[in-house]
Amino acid sequence: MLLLLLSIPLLLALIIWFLPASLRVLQLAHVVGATLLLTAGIGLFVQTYGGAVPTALNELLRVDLLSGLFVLLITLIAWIVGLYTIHYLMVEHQEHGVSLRGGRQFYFLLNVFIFAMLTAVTANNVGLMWVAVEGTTLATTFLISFHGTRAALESSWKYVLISSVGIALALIGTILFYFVNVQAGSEAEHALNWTSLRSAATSLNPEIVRMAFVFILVGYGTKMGLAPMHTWLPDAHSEAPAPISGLLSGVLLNVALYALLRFKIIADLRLGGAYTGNLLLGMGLLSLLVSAPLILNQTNFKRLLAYSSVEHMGLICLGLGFGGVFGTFGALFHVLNHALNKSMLFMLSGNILQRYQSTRIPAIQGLLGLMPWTGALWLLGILGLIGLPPFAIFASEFAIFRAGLTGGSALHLVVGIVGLILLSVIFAGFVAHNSPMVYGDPPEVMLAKDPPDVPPTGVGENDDPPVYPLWHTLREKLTWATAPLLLNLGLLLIMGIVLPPFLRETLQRVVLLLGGGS
Amino acid sequence: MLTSDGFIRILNLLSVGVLVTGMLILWRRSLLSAVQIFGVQSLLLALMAVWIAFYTGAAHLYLIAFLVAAIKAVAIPVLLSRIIRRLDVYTEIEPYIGVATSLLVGAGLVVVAYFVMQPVADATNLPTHNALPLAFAMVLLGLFITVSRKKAVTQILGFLVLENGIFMLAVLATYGVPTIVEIGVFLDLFVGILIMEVLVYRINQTFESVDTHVLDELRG
Amino acid sequence: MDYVAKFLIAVVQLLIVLGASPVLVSLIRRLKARLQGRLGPPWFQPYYDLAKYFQKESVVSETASWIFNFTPYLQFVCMLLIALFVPFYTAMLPLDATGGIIVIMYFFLLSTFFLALSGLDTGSAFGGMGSSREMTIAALAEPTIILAVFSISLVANSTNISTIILRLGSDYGLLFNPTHLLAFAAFVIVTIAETGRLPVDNPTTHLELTMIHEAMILEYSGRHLALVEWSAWMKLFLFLSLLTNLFFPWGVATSLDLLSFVAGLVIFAVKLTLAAGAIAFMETILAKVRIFRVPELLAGSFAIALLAIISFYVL
Repeated sequence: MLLLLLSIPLLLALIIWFLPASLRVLQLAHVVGATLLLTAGIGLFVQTYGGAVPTALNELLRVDLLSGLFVLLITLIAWIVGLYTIHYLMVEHQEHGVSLRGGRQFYFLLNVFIFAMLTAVTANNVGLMWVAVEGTTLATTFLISFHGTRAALESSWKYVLISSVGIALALIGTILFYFVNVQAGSEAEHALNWTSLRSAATSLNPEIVRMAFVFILVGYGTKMGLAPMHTWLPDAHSEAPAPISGLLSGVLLNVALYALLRFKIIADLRLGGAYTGNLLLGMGLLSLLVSAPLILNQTNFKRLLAYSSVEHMGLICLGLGFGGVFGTFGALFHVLNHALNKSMLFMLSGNILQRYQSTRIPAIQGLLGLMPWTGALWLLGILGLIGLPPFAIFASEFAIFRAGLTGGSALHLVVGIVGLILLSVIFAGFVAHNSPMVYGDPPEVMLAKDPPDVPPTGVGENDDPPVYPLWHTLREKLTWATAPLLLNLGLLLIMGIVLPPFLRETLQRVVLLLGGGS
Repeated sequence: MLTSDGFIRILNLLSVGVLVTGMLILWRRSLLSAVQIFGVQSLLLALMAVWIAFYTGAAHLYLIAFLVAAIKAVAIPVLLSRIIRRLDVYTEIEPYIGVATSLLVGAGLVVVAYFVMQPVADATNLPTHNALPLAFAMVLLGLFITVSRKKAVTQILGFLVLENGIFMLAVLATYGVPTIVEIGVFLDLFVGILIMEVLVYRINQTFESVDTHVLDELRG
Repeated sequence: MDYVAKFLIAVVQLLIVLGASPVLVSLIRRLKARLQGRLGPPWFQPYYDLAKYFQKESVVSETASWIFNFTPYLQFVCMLLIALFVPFYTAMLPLDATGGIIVIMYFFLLSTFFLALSGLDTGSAFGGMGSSREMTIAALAEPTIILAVFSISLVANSTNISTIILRLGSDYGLLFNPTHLLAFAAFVIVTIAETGRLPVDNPTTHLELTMIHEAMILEYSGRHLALVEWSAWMKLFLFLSLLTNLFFPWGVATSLDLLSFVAGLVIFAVKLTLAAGAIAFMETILAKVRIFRVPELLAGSFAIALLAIISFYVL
């Protein structure tokens, strides 16, 4: 199952490379592949939920429940994104001059990206994990610059440089862990394996483990978008095509978090939870501090979402920092909720951008009137994102702050209160930005049936009939651009109201795993 | 048989040589010669790996040394020189931080590296442990080059110096990481450089400059 | 060691530095000329110059203070004093116990300081410009010298110059120590800067924009000029002696017998000739760097000197 899971996206990428450049064929292939992948992902998750810990390739790969959970998350969101791309790429092709070869390149890189993420979360060898995480950076660089605009090029340059440099620091941390493990007497051949690190954890040199964890935190923290290494994130997430933004924000950040968690387990076994916890609290609070004013003053709705990702990664760090059963549970739960919620919103932002041709918040008016499906989903998504019940983010944020405020530590109390204040600032910012976007009348030009002065685009060279931009066709219908997202919303509602028992048990068992259990 | 003392002496000379090449990259404004110096640095690193392999019998280091020589000392310098010639950008005219100041900062970073890495160097009695702070100094130098220079090519070079520092760290601290991981790291690095190269071309086409300070549209 | 021998050695040191420094300058000029395909000035041209200057009247600006008159003598005396501490052919120096390598450096600094003051003293534009440039260089060069000297002292575990040479000469392993090599590199760059050679300063130019040393001494004439020039030559001689003997300590006499003295003298002459050749070669292939680039060069040498110290502690 494990090797099958990894081979699907890899094979799919290869197949897509040789497929004819036709959007229909590519989409069919990708959707079939993504569905298979989701099936395999669920299969693997069920396997680990049943208590199995499959390994492969001489223990190079190993999937416990923590990995299983992330595999499930990645395959699920990749599936939804895959469905979403059907409509998205068609519009991009018809209206914005994206070539068919560009479309093929898109699907190829998308599958390489998914492959790299899955490798990262299934790797037992932390060196391989690093290689895979760096691989995600490389796979996504050209996806971010997909549109080839000045801003897209700028953002992908910053992305590849900052991420590569940042992640290089994580490699130092990895090497230092390897070093202490070899020093502690583990066999060099396997000393990079996480299992070997864990069994030797208590005999590692504590001073070097401390230092190594700082490198890991800064390195993978860069990739996670934690302040102050977050500078690439708003650029990359806002310039990338919508489905890619959804994957970057919803999944890739969590993959980096996963890498961090693996090392946190080792470090905690040696140092106790307080050391890594306090570091994470610091980074988390800083991320909230940095993102709050930028959210308040934001004029670009994609950047608004991107900064919100910085904020939520900060919240997850807070949860992990508060620690205890509640904090860790809340943080893990928040990972799932944020992934579902943010990926949905980013995909919706793609719909809005395609229709309004602008990412400026003031340019968007009357979303509900013009695009009822997108508008409604967007409104509910935003409400969920800022933590209103009954959406799931409310539940996870509640758990996180409850852990902070009732833990009995003065430091946690202060951090918790400051965090709550910042959260309410962000809340206000989102509400203020979104009311004019969602309500009101759409701009005049958007409603006109036959705007006379807009030339038809997409005219073929051999006298094809002119193709008018899609926004001529008035009110939005339920399409692939919105239908898959209903799943996100549904899941968020369900998990917010009553957490399914299997998920509760999974999270509880993962909390134990994070505490060093097996 | 080689004595431990002689081994360490040569090793120390090589490590200092590597560090001096890092300083030289900081010093040179000419991009082509900076790239050549990087090639020399990589060659010194390959020699270091061979030397350690020869002394300790860690045979997989020969393969790694060959990869370093082939990729970092030959392929990447050739690639970068090609970018420089094609884009007709030969000098780092005005870095964010002046060359004189950079050199002083660079020297300061070596001191910082010494204090940071001392616990690691003290934790082992490998014959190679003394040079560990120098490897970390290279990491800091690479980081500094990346943030203090404007030209995209120099920023790539800074990243490469940083990578060299990490490689040196791995070779000195643990005689390299397991081969499969090392090969993966090389693959990442090489593909990364190729991607950066293509991006630099595209940036040059679109912005008609490879000064990265023209990349300032995205703010706030 | 009896007092007569000590006294004799001191006298010989002074005679060497006074007599041989113009020859060294002449040697560099002639080698350089050969490399550039010219014949070059006669061997004794520096002596003719000195003789000529001493016969001329010394004209002093009305605005100049006592510093202007005092500086040439001070400089001259500084160089002679330093000559008593720097080993040329023997490490058995009479004043050995009274001061080490640090004293030497501070005498050099003292003379540079006064020269810069006198450049300002006359109130001429060129003098001020030269002084300002000289101080810019000195501000970076002096710490570099101190660091380089410290790292040599660390390697040899002494600041006494004779002891350093004895130690280094007896254990060649110390010479190939990274600290020592880096200190050597830094010292070479600083020597070039301090003695005003290419690519930092051009000793033959009188083009206003590029001058440093020549600009400072522009107002001097007659016997003052003779002393200043002579001091500059001695400074070059002393720096090169230090450089060669500290980093290539072979052949320096370490006992009080005539044979080793003679051998030491011959080897010393060979070393200086090689150094002169190196300078001539470098000045032939290098162009002067722009004045704004000089701090970069010196910052580089400072960084290298710092590396030398760090690598001593690290490795």
